[in-house]
Amino acid sequence: MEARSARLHLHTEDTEMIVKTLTKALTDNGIGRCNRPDFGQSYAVRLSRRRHQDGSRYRIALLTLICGLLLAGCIVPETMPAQSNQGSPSGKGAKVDAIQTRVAEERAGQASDSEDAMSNASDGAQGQTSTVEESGGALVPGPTAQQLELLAKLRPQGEAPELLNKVWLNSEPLKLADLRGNVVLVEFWTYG
Amino acid sequence: MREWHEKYADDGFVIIGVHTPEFRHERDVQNVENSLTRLSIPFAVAIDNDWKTWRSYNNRYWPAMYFIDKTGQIRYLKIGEGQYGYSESVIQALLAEPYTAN
Repeated sequence: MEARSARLHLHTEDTEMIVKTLTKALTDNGIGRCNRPDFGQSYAVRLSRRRHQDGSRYRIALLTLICGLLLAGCIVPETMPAQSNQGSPSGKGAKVDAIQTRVAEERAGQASDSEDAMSNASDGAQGQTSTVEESGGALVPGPTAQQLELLAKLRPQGEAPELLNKVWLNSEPLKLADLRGNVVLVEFWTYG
Repeated sequence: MREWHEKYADDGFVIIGVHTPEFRHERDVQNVENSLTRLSIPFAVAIDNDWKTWRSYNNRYWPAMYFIDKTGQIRYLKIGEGQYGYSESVIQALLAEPYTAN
């Protein structure tokens, strides 16, 4: 501001007047440098007070933050495993699932038995054919209702890229193309 | 992993470990072989020192498991450790899925 007003002073006295009024307007708005010593002093005092208050405020905020982090550190490790286990049938969940599938299988068996009995009662020849079909189906156990639900969720995400590695341990080089009909788990890992 | 191999290998479940090294010393095949003995890993392990398979899978994580169904489709991707119960139920479901060879 000073630099600009000095440069303008070189031209005319009119411009000096304009600059003075401009400077006054700006200082009144608190933008330019303040010429009143008392104002500046009181402002400085106010600033220093505020700084002091802010400092104590920061300190309190910092303490609260540290306490919060410590608390979170105590609570989270206990709750996290419980959360990660949710939705995955592990441990007790797996046992419950196993029991549920067994119950479902038993129910299915009972249902087919009762159907057999009914068809046998109504028509001997037809009853025999249906039994053959069902016993044929039972040789290859299909997915349970729960598994069907899970399989519906596991949408195909594209064909797995072929394995191109030449050096293998524990096995001859394998190709995914030769493993059709098998369920394959490809795991990327590193021993380190 | 070893447990799954023992449990489901007879049902047509194949585990393939792709060893993609992160650090220089992990590129040594002898080191990998020693770790297989140490961890008694029974399943096949491909040495992916040139990162070829890693790149073709567009993989970014260790560990990462790709569950591939009987037709060769990726059906589930598990990144990181944990949720082994769910992963096992995925294996069971994929094994139970009917398959007819083309």
